[in-house]
Amino acid sequence: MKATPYISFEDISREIIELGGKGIYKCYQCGSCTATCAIAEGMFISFRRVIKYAQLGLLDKLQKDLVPWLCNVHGDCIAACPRDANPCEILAALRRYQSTLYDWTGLSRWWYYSSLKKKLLTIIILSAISIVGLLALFYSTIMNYLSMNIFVNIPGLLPIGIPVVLFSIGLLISNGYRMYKFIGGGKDYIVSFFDAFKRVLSFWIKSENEALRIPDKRIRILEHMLILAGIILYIFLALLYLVYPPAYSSYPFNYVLMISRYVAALFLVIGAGLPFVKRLSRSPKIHWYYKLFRHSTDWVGLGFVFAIGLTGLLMNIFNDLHIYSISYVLYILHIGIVFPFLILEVPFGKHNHWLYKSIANYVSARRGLIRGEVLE
Amino acid sequence: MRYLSKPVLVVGGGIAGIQATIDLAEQGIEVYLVEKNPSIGGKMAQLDKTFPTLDCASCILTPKMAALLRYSNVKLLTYSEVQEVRGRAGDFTVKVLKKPRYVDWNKCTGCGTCVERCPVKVPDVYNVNLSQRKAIYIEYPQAVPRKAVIDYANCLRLNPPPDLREKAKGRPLCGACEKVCPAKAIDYGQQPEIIELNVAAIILATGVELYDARNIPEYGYGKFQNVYTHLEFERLISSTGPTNGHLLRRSDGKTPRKIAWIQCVGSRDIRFNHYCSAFCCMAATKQAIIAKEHVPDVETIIYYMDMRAFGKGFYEFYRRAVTEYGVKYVRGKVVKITEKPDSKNLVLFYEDTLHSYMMKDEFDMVVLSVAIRPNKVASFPVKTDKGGFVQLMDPYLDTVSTTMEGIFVIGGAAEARDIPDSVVMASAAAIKAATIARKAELSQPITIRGEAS
Repeated sequence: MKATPYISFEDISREIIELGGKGIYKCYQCGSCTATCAIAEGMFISFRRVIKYAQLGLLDKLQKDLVPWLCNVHGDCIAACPRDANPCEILAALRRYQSTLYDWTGLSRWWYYSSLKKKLLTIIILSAISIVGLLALFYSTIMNYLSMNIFVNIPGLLPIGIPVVLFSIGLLISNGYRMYKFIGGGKDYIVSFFDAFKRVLSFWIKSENEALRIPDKRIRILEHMLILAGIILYIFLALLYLVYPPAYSSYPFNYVLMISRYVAALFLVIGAGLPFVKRLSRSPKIHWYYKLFRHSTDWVGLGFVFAIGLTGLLMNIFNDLHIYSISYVLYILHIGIVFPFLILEVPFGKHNHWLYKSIANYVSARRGLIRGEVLE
Repeated sequence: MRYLSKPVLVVGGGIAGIQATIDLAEQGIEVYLVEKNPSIGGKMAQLDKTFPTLDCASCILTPKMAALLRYSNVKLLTYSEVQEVRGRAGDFTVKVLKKPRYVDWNKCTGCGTCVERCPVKVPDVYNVNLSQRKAIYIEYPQAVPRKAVIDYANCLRLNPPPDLREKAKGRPLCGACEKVCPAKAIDYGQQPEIIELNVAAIILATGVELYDARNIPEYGYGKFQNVYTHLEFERLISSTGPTNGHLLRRSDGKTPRKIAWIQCVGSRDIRFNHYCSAFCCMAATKQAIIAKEHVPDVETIIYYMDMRAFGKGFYEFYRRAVTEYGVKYVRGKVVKITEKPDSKNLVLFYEDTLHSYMMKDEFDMVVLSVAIRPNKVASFPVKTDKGGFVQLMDPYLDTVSTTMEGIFVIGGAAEARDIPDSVVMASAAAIKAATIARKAELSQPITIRGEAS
């Protein structure tokens, strides 16, 4: 890992502002945000300090700091700030900035700084490549199945799909490993593995439980859980469908799996669709969370999930209605969306936050940053 | 005696107004000093000691207050308010409402017998509602003028509550003060008077009031008994205050062992007041030192964002507090205060920004350094800025003149500042006002910038 050079503070601050942290020059380092934060109350961390690093342009310190990934976006800091600098948005911009630092290919940096139009164009091109490739390889197979009036998944897809998935996950994990090395993972550990695991779990459950008790914060936590549950269920069902299709026709699993297919698709559609509607709404009564700045990567990340869920849902509906011509079209469209999702979004886009958050929580727990007893 | 100038009006009898009046009176100019409270003195009369020298505030203020009475060309109009201002520089027509004291000024000797006999007790604003006074009262022992005044709203005789009025059936409810006054000075029939003055210049010294800390519910002011404002704490440690200078807390009357000062409560905050209140960093340091003098083993911690030591000797004062008195300073803004129900102690939530993690601390007593807000100057034809302070003519070369020629502004009404700066402004405004007053008398031309219709 080469040491990164110092660049002037204006460059970093300008990039943070471009990524959504408009208030970065307003902060006068009072510490109100960290004092109100429920996460900071339970850990020996300070995110006010990270904002100072960004203000001063200390690139090497920003690279090493894992604190932005511990944020659960409760939003208490926004009301506490006496300068209206919106530390929540600055921290989100710092997360985006750090994603571009961890990635060794440089594609993440290109993805984050390109405009929404460029992103959509790239997605359409990749989508078209995958659809054309799919049709070129499997047109006859599909026509065969259609003439027999059945819907079966394309058998040849598996040996092509699995390497793509492995490649995408591999890229993500390589970036995750680079992050682990940057933040000094493996050094200064004072808590054992199992102890750290227990502490993280209990701390997360406690802090999210407290947030759920506040009606203001409940709704967006539930939406996020819907998306998470939908994605996990979807991965499980898709793998099952690709690896062991007979499970879908044997009794009684076929009914269970049919319901699960719809449940997964609905979770994704509702979990990703609701935020879309709320984020675009101009009504003054809308929850503050939806009025936060959304970068183009956020729109694209959400759009992917919504599109995958929608095409999956429609595909299942037309399948059960036995209109296989349309369901095959939707299936091809579905694959066309999953392909750029795997190639671009998972390793380089917003969706990599699950890995970075997990690594950050693990490392901070093992370093003993989680407070054992309640501060009196 | 003929004065070689037209009179000048000074509005507000705090230290700034008093200094301006003295400077003008020394030149032989006739001065009207209008003050809305029964006595002059202002905020400085409520202080115990001043920074950075720890001089007793009353000891340096009261000689100036007493000196005012010696000048025959100073007309003191206390318990009065300015209603309306018309005209232009050199020729202002001012309507002043003299509120009735119900006590004959010329007969009252300030002996205080009426105060002892009065049956009504109300919260004492001079002691920031920490103690009570009577409906007839003398504001504080060193009041100038030392004359009693009846608070109309709370007097049983002048303003009886409706249910008692029915029972009395037309007979007066009380007359205790009139009965006992040895000078026969009580006059229940006094009426408010409107006086019209013709002055050449006006000096605004209307001063400041404290921002209501109840607007910031996170600090629990008003709910938690042991949370004070800095003015309340100042009264606590004063020997003329509600506890005679003993440091005792409200909930159980015990001496606190650990006191915290929270800076920037409502100041430097765009949700409340965007400006800095300037004096409170030094005031908290001063109060911590005085607390240490009263109770030598008390632990004092000041929670600040920046330590603003902007004047002469201020930084040395701050260092003296750290090295000589052992006052502790923590850089971190306190965001929340909770109370422990059994001991009524307070827990402060803050981030220690020099160690970079969030902390909680328990204290017996908490003092909030609340922001100051300028008093309203609506009856004057001057512009005010975003914070409510009077807008100055030129921020560099003329910081006592307002946008209206002939009206000057000094002290807290212009911006948040301390005593030395206010006094300097007062002398500066006095000479400028004197120039206009002389020119008006000798019919010399005055440049006119603005006219109040």
